[in-house]
Amino acid sequence: MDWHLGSELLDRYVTGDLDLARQAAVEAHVLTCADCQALASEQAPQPTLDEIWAGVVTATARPKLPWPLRFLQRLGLTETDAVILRSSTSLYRPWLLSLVGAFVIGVGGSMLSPTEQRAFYLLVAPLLPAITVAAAYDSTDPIRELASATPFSKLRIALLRTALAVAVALPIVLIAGLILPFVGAEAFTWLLPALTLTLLALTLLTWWNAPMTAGVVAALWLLVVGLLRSADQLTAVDTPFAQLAFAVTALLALAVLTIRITTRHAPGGYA
Amino acid sequence: MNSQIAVLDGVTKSYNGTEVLHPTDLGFGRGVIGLLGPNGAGKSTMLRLLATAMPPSSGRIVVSGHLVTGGIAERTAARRRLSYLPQEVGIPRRMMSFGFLDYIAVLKEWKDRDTRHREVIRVLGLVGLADRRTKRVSALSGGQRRRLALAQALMGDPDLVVLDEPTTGLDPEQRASLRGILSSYANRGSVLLATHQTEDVSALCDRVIILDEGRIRFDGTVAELIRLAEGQVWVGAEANTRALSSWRTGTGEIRSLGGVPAPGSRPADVAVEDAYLLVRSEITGATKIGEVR
Repeated sequence: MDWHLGSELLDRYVTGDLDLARQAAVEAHVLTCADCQALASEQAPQPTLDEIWAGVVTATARPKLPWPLRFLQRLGLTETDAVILRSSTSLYRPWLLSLVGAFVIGVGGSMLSPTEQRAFYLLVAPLLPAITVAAAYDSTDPIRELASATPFSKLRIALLRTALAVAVALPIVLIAGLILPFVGAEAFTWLLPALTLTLLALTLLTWWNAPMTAGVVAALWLLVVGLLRSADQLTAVDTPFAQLAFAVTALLALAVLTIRITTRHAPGGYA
Repeated sequence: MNSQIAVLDGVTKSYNGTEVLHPTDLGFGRGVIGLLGPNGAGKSTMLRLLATAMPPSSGRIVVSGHLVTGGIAERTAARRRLSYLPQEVGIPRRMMSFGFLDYIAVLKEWKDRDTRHREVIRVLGLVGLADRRTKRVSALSGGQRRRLALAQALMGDPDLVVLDEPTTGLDPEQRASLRGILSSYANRGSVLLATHQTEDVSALCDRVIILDEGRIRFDGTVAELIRLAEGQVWVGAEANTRALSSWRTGTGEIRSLGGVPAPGSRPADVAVEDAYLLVRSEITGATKIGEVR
């Protein structure tokens, strides 16, 4: 080692006055020379060191977002919304439910007679998104009480979770409908009933907990499908009149939901 | 009234027709306020109401000048000025310490990522978990999980800090450290804590409130509470069967509380626990609190 850093050289390095070659020489030298490391440590401004260290600590501690959320961030999802979704552990339940539901449609449907297959698909497909939304608001969310005392909009959390639960459930049921041979033309008929039941579930969640909501929505839909089945009128669901009725019911549910969340309650708790 | 950080005005709470908090009027100014009472006394209910975690059945609640019983906008404004530690926080086990606090910080509207993460690191350091920041919650001990839950309540600069049994699960060093932290918050705002640890009250609190069956039974300073028991605590060599409670201390002497002093006994210094037990016995009309050990 035939040279060492002097104060003047170090000052020029710190202020950025050195050309690139000399900067590289200083850095290479400091890496291998204990005396010059000590000199550099003495002269380094403490606030800068603290800031760098804090940056290292946070960078190593910060959990990496899963790739779907990173992808959504590229599409415009805010960083704070991504953190909310990353931390919504209750979403694993509805996603699992969607997969199980699609499996049930496939296996259960194929075991039924052709006349029952239509009723079965019409019963399960619209219910699945509604139930997954209810499951995303399980009132047993372990940190629900803690979260309820924070200022973050409960409605925003509700909508984020709804969007993500439906974003998984909808394509799964749709794909199942398109690939299962017994579904046929009904592959799209269930979409409007599904929207109606989902909005109804969200509205009821402002009064009741998730199991109660899911039970009532499922019972209601079972009643509708049962009545249509017994009257041999399942095809009535495809008619423009029936689809209009679903759309009107969905709008009514949306209106009640809006009134509820602008007064006191958001789906899943005290707003 | 203007110096009050939080106010309960005729507040009640009922569950299924049972009133668990009877009409209550209280104001909380700057300092540390300890809430004592047996299990089921209504302590957690009062804290939940103040923390805006649930609505009251009737009455008005004001936090930092915002009427939380008024509407969502006022409630949200109040939530920006308070922090809350519930009695039980079931932090998802798969979460990392840093990730959990990051999530709560987002819920507390810390929008800038770098500022938020610096705050997360700061509070992790405050509760002695800086070296556990990348650990999953499942890898933390019970005490560490409690400290992690506590860390979220120490974020920012709240006017009102509401803590439900904050020292449960902490060892003596951690409790001493927490007392120091809470004292610094009390210089700026109001710290309200429910506890069963009477030593925390004597070490930390400017004011004590004793609740029983949803009613306030005592509200005053620690000195005033202790004065209630003066002349009713003795130590002596003989067992005292006519006291409300008596027990053998580490020195081998018998300490007795209330009732009639044993022959040869002498007055002893009163602790907060003595005074609390005496207040409780007056409420319940008990003639015995414990047995001679």
